[in-house]
Amino acid sequence: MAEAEKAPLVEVTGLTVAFDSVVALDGVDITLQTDQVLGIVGETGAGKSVLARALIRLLPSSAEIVAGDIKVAGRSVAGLAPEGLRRLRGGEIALIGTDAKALLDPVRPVGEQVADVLQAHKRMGRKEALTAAIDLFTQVGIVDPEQRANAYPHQLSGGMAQRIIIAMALVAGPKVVLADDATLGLDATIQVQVLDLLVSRCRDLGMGALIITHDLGIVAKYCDRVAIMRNGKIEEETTTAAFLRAPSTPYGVQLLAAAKARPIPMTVAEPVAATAGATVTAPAIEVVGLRKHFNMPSGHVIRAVDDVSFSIPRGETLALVGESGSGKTTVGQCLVRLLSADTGKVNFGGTDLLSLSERDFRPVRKNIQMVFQEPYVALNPRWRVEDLISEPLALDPTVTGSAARHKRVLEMLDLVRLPGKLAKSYPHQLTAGEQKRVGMARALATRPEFVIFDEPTTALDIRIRAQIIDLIRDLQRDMALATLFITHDLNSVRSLAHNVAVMRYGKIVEIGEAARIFAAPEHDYTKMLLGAELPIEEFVPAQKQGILA
Amino acid sequence: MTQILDFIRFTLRRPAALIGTTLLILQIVAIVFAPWLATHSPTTADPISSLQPPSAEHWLGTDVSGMDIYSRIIFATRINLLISVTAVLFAFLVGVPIGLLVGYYRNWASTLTMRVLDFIQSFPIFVLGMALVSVMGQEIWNVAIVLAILFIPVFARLIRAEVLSLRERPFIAAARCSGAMDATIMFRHILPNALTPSIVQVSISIGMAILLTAGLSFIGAGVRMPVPEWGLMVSVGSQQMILGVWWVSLFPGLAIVFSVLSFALLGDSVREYFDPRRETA
Amino acid sequence: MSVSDSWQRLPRPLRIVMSRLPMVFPQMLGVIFVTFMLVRLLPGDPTLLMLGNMATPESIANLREQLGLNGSLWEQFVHYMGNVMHGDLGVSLFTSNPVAKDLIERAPATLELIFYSMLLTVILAVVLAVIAVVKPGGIVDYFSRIYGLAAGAIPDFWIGLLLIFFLFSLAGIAPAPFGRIDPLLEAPPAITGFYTFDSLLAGDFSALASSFGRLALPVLTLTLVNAGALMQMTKTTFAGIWRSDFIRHQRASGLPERVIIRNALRNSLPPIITLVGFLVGFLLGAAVLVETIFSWGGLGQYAVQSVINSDYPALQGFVLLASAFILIVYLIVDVLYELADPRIRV
Repeated sequence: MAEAEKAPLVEVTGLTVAFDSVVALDGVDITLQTDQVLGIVGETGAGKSVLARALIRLLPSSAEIVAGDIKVAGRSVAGLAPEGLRRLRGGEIALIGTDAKALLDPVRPVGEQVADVLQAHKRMGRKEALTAAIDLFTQVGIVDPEQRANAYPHQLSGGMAQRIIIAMALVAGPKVVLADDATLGLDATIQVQVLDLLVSRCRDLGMGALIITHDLGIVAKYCDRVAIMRNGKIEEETTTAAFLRAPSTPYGVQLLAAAKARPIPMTVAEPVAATAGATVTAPAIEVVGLRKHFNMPSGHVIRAVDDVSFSIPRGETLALVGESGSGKTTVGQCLVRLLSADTGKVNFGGTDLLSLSERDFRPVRKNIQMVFQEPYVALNPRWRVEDLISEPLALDPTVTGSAARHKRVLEMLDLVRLPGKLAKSYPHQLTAGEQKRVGMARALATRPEFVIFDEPTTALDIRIRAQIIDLIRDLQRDMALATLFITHDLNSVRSLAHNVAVMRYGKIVEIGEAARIFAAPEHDYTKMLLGAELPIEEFVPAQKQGILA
Repeated sequence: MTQILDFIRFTLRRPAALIGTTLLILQIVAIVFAPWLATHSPTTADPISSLQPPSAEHWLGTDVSGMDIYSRIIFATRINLLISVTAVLFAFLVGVPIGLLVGYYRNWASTLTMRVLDFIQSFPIFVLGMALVSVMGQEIWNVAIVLAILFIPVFARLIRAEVLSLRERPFIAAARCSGAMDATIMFRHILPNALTPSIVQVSISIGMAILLTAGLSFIGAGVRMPVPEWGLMVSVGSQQMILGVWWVSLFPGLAIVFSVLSFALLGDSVREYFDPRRETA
Repeated sequence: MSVSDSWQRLPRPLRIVMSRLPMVFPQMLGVIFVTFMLVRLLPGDPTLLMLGNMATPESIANLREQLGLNGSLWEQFVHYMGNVMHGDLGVSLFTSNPVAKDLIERAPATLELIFYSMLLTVILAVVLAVIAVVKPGGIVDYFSRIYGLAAGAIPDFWIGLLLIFFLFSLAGIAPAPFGRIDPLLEAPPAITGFYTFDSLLAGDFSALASSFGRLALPVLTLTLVNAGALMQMTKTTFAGIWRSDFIRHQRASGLPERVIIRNALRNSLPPIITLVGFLVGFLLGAAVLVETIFSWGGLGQYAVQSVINSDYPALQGFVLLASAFILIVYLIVDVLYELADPRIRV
């Protein structure tokens, strides 16, 4: 590297952006060289998206660039006229966002949309542009490109839509690709495919890529360098290898530690002390031959849950893993009777739950509860936390009177490590992590025997996720819950589950002890799932392992 | 209660809302203090003073029968607002539960009800109003009843739309898991979240009802003489407009404009208050 | 090959139209039933009310026969429906003509009025809405906010009168508000029924000028009031789309502004189509008022006359025709909506 260095593709110096009086970016310095992949990691509110938008000067009108400069390919972005900015966007820097389908025009075929972008940057006729678009589809791995080009966005899957967006980003031949949380919400296997594609195309074309994410695993696998953002500042910036070996700031250390799975595998819970004469402990819940089909008006039948059987002993956790469409969420909904299963038995506490009438099932709800996926929408925005947590107490005959209820609410808040004064708050006044905990407090209020957690760790920031996982481990141990853990986050499964069942297309393809399945998966699909996981441990340099802990 | 105070504080900071509130207060004053504010009797004819332009004696002039326009406008506030507010409140009280039930229970009864409501709404509202009033008889109460019938589908539809989207939300499923039963879910979970658009609509509908009442009376299908009503007053002066007698129709029309405006402005500020994109509350 | 497969093979527009048709028949039936019930809502004997002091047993019997009030309710309904199917809507008590004839004579006047009003309203509303959203904080935005608020509060009959007063009585630039064409000129030979089209087709330019002139004030009245409401609603729809993720992404991909505006408009089309459908219904009601002020000689004036004269057959006929018209308009609107939005599965 002795010769004069080429000008960096992107050079940001001292960038400060403020929304009215709130500072979103504070003196940010970023450099991206050609043929380099830079990862930008941060939690919610760090300012990552603001940075991305600032690079193409697409900030909302209330935002102002207070100080600093942005240079793209040596030229300053600040002085550009509207036409110059237009050419910059898509022509030199292309943006790829989250939720690809929402980024596409719903009423036009996708091929035309990509052709539009090409025509906006290069002089060419319509036919030529369409042909070029279809060619590009092939390069981004879309089978049957002509057919796909005529499809509308709502007819595409999430992964397919993301490929179209990538094609749209690459079509005008930009120098830099900006991926802002581009794989959020995608299944792990799709995520890996999309990122593989993106990074390989960038390297082939000699482009630079800025990958914004909150997943350190992605950074570890794909990025040459990493910048850690927090509260609008860059905390540290270095090569990925150096960071994974030893982060240089306390915050970096916290993040790395939180991204790792809780190291100690769960011990199998001691069976409940055998009562005289009883030698075998019955499982807390046993599911036999559960089936739920949906009949579509077109005549097509969706086998959401197709002959699923498993059992969960008291005090143990079963993780039900699978990608979207596997049916795992439907299983959970059938167990709490939010959906009525077609056939099957669910043996719990001596009765088959599915055979009970709605009225007879109601008292049983005391012992079966569910923690819902998205925290904010699972809480009635007009109810106070106190009322939300005490609602299920109506099912518990031992808790009567408002004094007793109030006491239980405070107990629950304490259990999930929330301050008692939050009882009077409304959901929108809480952070995402706090909302998740309130959801848990509500589910545990009646001290149930069996709890279902639906995607407890999805879409959480790195450190919050670690906290929630720790909390769940403690709750499992203290309350001896039988738990069903529905998730696609394999990383969390390592620290939380005794047993794992892998679901695909409504069926369980493999089931067994967690340790065994992770170490030696048998079914091909399981192997594929594990292959798509990005556990940070894999990338941390080997020298750490093997040393006495 | 605290919400109402908060709303008042919100209103005071916005000029549009202030204007609306002031106009509303003026109307309320006119309603309560009409006998003291009026200068002449609103219903006694006085042919000698027919068609006098505005003067010190008759502040806004007189109409064909010599009745004082200013006094009639003041008293007409009672009639116009009475009819409109009663009609809309009634439509709200009937429409909201209907919308709630129809949106929550998806069975043949709810489909049938929706068809009936659809049907009422498919007639041009003015034409239907006109036909109904002419058939039922031109009494003040009949006008109110007809208007109420015309507005019930509006509220039922608004609530139903909200209910349909709310019932799929996870917090409803969570409530069911917590053991809540249908009635609780409908009234304590869904309704508080579903009311906002309908509350905004109350204000707007009152404005519309005033316009409808005036229109109906204008063509002679609403209230009858000598009842003081703004639309009727405009119609009385319509023949004379061409001849240059402008005051008979102008002032009652202005009254309509200000009245409807006040409700529209209030409705707007209620809508902005509840807008989830706002920073506070 | 199932029924649903062969259904899916038909071209989409055809599927849309065909799935809508079955509903039309029961809806028309409902309309006929309601108009039938209208007169029966009267308390007491309608014939007595209508004949008043001149009632003799003979005339009562005659009138009852005329109005079809004999026999059980079901018989009456069947009788009425049978008549309607044959185009017999009864005889007007006031004009003594068959109601159907009266209606057909007057329909073109109203249709012409609604046509031009709708055209002008839609253009004005959409243009204002789009500019207001694309250039927020600008003059158009500011003006449109005031206009939207004010227009909704102004009664159309009042503004019509004011327009007559200022533009005719005071300024003398508008023609007299007495009908569709200068009474000294002859109406063009009727081909479409629209005076403007017919005079153009006949090459009669003085008739063309006169009919346009006469249309000016009533159309202006209807437009001024209704464009405000349509503009507000269009603004809301368009603004929602303008702020959406995919529009932002188009800007981030470097598409020129005018292409983005075009795409946003295309997305706003389905709701705007629905709004225009409502507008037509609304205009029909508003035409009643406006026709009265301008002596237009259309359906609206006819309806008002029938109300004042307690001419029930005429009123019934008008309600029936108006409702059938709205039904067809809504049908067309629904079809256009589904055509414009590819996400809707048929």
